Amino acid sequence: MSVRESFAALAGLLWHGSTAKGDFPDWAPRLLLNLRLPRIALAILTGAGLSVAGASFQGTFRNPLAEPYLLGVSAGAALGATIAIIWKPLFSLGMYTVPLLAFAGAILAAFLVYRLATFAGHTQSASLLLSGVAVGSTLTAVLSFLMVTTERDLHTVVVWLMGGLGAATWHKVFLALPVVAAGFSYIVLNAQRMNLLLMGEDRARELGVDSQRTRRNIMVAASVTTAAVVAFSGLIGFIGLMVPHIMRLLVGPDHRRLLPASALFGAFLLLLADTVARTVLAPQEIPVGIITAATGGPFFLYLLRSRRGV
Amino acid sequence: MASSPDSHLPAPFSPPSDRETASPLIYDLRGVEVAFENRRILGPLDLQIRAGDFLGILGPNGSGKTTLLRTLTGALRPSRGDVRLLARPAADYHPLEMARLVGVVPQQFSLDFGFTVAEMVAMGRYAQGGHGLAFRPKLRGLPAASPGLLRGEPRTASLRDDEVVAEVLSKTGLTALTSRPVTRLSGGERQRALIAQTLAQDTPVLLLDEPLNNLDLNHQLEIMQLLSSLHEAGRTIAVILHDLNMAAQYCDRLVLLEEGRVAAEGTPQTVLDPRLILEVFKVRVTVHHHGARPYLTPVWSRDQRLPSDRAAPRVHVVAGGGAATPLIEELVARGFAPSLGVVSVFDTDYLTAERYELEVVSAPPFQAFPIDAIQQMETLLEESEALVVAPVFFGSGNLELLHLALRALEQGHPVVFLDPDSCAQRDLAGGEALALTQAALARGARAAPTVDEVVRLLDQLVAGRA
Repeated sequence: MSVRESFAALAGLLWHGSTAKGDFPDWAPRLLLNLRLPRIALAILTGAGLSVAGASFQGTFRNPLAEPYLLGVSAGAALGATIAIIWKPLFSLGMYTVPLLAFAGAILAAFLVYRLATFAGHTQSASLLLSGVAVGSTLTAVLSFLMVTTERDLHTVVVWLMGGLGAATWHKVFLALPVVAAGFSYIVLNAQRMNLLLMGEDRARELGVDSQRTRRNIMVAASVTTAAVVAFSGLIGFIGLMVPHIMRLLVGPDHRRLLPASALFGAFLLLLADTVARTVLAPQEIPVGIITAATGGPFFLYLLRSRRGV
Repeated sequence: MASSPDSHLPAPFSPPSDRETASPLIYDLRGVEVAFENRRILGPLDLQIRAGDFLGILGPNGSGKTTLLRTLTGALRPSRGDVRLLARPAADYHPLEMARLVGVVPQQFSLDFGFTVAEMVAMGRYAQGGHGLAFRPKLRGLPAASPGLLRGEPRTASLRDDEVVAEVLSKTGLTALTSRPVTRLSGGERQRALIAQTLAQDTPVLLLDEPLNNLDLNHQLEIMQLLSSLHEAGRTIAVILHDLNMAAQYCDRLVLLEEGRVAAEGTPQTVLDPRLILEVFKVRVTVHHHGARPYLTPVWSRDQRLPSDRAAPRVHVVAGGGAATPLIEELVARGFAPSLGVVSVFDTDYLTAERYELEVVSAPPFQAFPIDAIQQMETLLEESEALVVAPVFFGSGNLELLHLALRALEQGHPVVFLDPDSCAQRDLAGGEALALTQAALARGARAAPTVDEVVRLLDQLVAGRA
């Protein structure tokens, strides 16, 4: 199908619905409606969600290496998804078994990490990072054990772990959308508080921010957002780490600009990467994480070297 | 630092006439103790800070100054006792409420991301509503017992945030650096940006932890003058300072901490007592006065010995009119124990001796020296390694001192004349002083053109004796 035919089919879909007829194959409007458009929507949600979550973790931890998977969300989601894939019959949730267990695993892992790092009501950044690593590697060990002891579903598990948007449906989009929208709104409304938190919890408190509470809430919002997109898109790396850095170089460190800019650019970047992943070796698809890492890494290095000292 | 009459930071209330009795209590600390892991690092301590106070908090390193300040901000909860801010426990305040009442300049902060100076300072507006996109928690009502303190508050809420930011930037001398990234500031500029951020908060109470860190003398004075004008405008200020003289000059009340307790509290005159300073800081100081305020000078000693040590070699100095002061200070610094005399009471050299608590033979001014003074001096001379004659003016009144020097020579005491070449100009006795000096030099007195040379000769003498 040519580009011209695609646009004609899209116009037909918009004016006459999925049964539109015209200067394009009869199946084209239905393909657009049921496959392409949900995939585009999921790419936008995932890219935006991961980027905003990444920016939030980097800001609240004051650590440029922080990423959305910091609290063990990735390992938790992976383990949940793997359990769902291997013991599918045990959970009668139909097509939502994998995403729901992945989401549950991600939330449980993040909760566990947060609890382990909290002593007498205070949560220290260093303890969070360390317990995130510890919980993550423990869960990954369980995951690896499950993978080597199963043969039947190994391929399915590996494909899920690599991440991809190929299985997007409108149902998935409408399940993820409210979670991502809520998390994103909460985080953006706390943008100025995140700016103040960059000066450290003590200083932010002196300036009027309830630091502990704000940081905890932002971490919860970012982790839930991440869990929601990971549950449907699998583990897509790089976006959540690099997009906030790229945007920080372009629009500066102010979260009131940085967060919306990261959401936009993350959505755009993942959509672009997914399109490339889908078409470059068509009909075979490449895992989208390979595209994001292969293009974003050099672009980031270019920015870093051309705008040094920003 | 310009302070315009149409200042955007008006007085929250007028300074009370009788601070001690009429001013409302801002902070009331009773029996406060702070402990970390069962080790007490502050207290037990009582302290009151009243509206309009300009309180200096002093003390050696580790005496609990910062802990005290963090207890006032509610960042630390006392393990015992009561810290009340406007009659309510400080730790019970929501951070936003606290940030509208109390501005804090901490000892350190970090901001590694590249915000500009203006952006950083604008963050100080958060508590006054300059919060951009952010939820604001509903505040529980401020306490009813906030007498006069919060009148018209928030004072700058009607102003645009950028106007307040521009004003505090100009007050802290940062206008030229407005759009520079904080990461590219020098230490002193960062410190001023931090102070500006706190001033943008526009609070009736200011707590500062060593705000002069990293600042050169010019900016130290500017910041203290700025605090002084904020105090004049009615703000309550408590500031931790290391520079005792800065505290004495600007603060109205001082509290001296020692190992977590209040060692002294009161006016600069009462707190900056040399005995107290020696006890708390283990440093000998001498007190001068600058106006009504005390000014401390440490006893500059490049030698391990103090003048009061028994081991310090004793030297008697013929002094008068301030001519011996540089010599005396150098002798003290080099580990000698000089004694002085005979000098008139309140002679400059007499005051020097008093500052260093040296032995001094004195006489009433404008009279011939009494016999017992001369005898007293001869006794001192017996215990001394040498007699040093400072380049004093000689007239009929003190000519006796040169005769005494000649007698000392005859008895075998070493005598050193400092700068004898200028003797002719200092002779107000019609040539007699010059003649006596030349006679002494002819009989073996040593001549030393400089103070350093005197010290070298004395060192030789002491070494020869040992």
